[in-house]
Amino acid sequence: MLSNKKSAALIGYTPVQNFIAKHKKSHLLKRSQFIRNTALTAAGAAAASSGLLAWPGTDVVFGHGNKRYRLNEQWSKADVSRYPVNDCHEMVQDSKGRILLLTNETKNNILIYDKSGKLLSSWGTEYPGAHGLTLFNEGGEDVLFICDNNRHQVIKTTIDGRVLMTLTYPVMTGAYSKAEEFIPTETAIAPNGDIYVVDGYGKDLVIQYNHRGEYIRHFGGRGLDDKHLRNAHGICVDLRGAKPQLVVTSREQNAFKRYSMDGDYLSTIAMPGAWVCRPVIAGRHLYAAVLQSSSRPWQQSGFVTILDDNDLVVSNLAGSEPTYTHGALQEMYQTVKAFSYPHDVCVDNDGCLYVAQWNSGKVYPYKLEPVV
Amino acid sequence: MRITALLITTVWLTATQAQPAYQLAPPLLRSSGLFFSDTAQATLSFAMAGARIHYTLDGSQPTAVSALYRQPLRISSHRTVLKAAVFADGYTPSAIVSQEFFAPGLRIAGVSGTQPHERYAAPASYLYNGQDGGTHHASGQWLGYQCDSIEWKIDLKDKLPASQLMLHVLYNPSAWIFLPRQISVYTEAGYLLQTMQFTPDPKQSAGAQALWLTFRKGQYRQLRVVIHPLDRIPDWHDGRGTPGWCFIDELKVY
Repeated sequence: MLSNKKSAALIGYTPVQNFIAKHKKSHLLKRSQFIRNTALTAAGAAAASSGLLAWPGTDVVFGHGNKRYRLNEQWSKADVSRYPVNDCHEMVQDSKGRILLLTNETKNNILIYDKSGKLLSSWGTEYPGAHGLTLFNEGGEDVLFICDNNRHQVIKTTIDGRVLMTLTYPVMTGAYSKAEEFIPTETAIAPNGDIYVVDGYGKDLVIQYNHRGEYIRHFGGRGLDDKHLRNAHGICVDLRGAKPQLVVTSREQNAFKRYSMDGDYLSTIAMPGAWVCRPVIAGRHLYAAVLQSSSRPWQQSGFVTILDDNDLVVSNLAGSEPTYTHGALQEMYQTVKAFSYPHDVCVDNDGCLYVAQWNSGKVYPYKLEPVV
Repeated sequence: MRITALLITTVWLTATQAQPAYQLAPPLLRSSGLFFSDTAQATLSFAMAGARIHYTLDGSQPTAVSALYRQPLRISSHRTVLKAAVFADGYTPSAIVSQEFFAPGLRIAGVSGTQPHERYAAPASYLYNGQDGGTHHASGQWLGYQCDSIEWKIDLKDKLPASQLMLHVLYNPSAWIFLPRQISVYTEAGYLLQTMQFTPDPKQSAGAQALWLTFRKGQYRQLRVVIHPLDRIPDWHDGRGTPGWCFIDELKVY
């Protein structure tokens, strides 16, 4: 009876987490990954510096128009036996130019690299559900916001891991009866310090707090209207226009949605075919990892997408060339199997990209360098 | 210095001897439907400069010398199998996408019998509406069952010559959807025409597929079908020991 119920629950509307649990299989290491993971040897380092690289990307250029890149699968020089990763969920660059990776491997939840892929330091053993990583410069000082799916919390820390604040499940919304219903995936911090949390694996709400963590309001959530969200997996503050706006991911709807900073729904950016992760704005462009193509779900069909400041897709890395027919973006899909399940893009101050991947054989992030 | 040079040479040799290449993803295949009345139209897409889609319609594996896809394909023969793959210089060819197309078959006047699960309760008329349900069980076209047995009467109204029953079913173990354990087809009077059994295969890939029961050619006014969904999910699956789901979107008699 119980088991019948269980299978009935799984087959009905299956929350993304169920899907994720079911599709997460421990991948056998492929030969190329084995080579990649056995720490780059002196030979590898020598080869890298002399431009003799042996992964498939050596001669391949990904992307379209003036957003084209070469892929470096061997960017990370971390020793896998000492600094393992599990899912590589998100990455940010700090004000010192270092690249921070968040993984749900509790031996080292945060790995800190320089831009060349040299591991500088690591910290964090208490974030088993480490998922979202946002950096905010608070009066000249970098602070981090970590969303933990398993702990049902958002944790604010210093750049070296000292806990400054913990947001537990938002009772004041009236939407939750217990902590387990709150599964935060991402945060965004407004210029005034307001904290926006998306509950992308829980109730798909956006919850706004002030900088002290005091509840202000909530919006989004599930439903059939345009203002609603389905798998609100990411959020960012868009400062490119006249007024700041929020861009929120509605991943299962293959879309981003714009809201005012007070939570009024403004518009939808359709991303047909693309399971977009969080929006990442750098310069005039918006970047996003696409976990997978809708046409080939749960078949390692991810790619990376780039939109200009008119919200038009201008380039897909390892994805189909973006085409607009009568103003409507045509369905997008993976074209080259370079990524499995990309989960985040980080853009550094040189314009290089770093791609962290979920459930992809525990690979370290890849780096993409622009082709000029 | 000499060691570095040696190592570089070694790596260079390794690289040149077995230059790996990225594999292309399969083309996007869209069609007007698997069950056509006169013709079906199939469209293949792959928006990548320099990539070519090659296809076959005779069931053979497409290669770089198979027909080059240029425009939507019209398909009008029963059980035509379209297979396509993408090729491009410097890349490993894609996996093959494959789609079978089905002619209308005998006219079915009605199907009556076991009701589907309330959550996947498309009307019985959907079983012969000529529309496929795609690959997602919640598309609204699929009838979903989780029960011991499904019994249907297929009413052909007049006595018609028939020798085959086709059931179009879904297989997606990650959603706990399996092929039925057994399908039997009987005459109106209860005479067993054919029975088939299926065992779940962990290597089978997910998707919709046709199951065929071929029987003695005869004149039939009604056929009776008894389907037993999988009663115990095998040990290799998370749902081991519990009943599997059975999803059907179309049945046809030929």
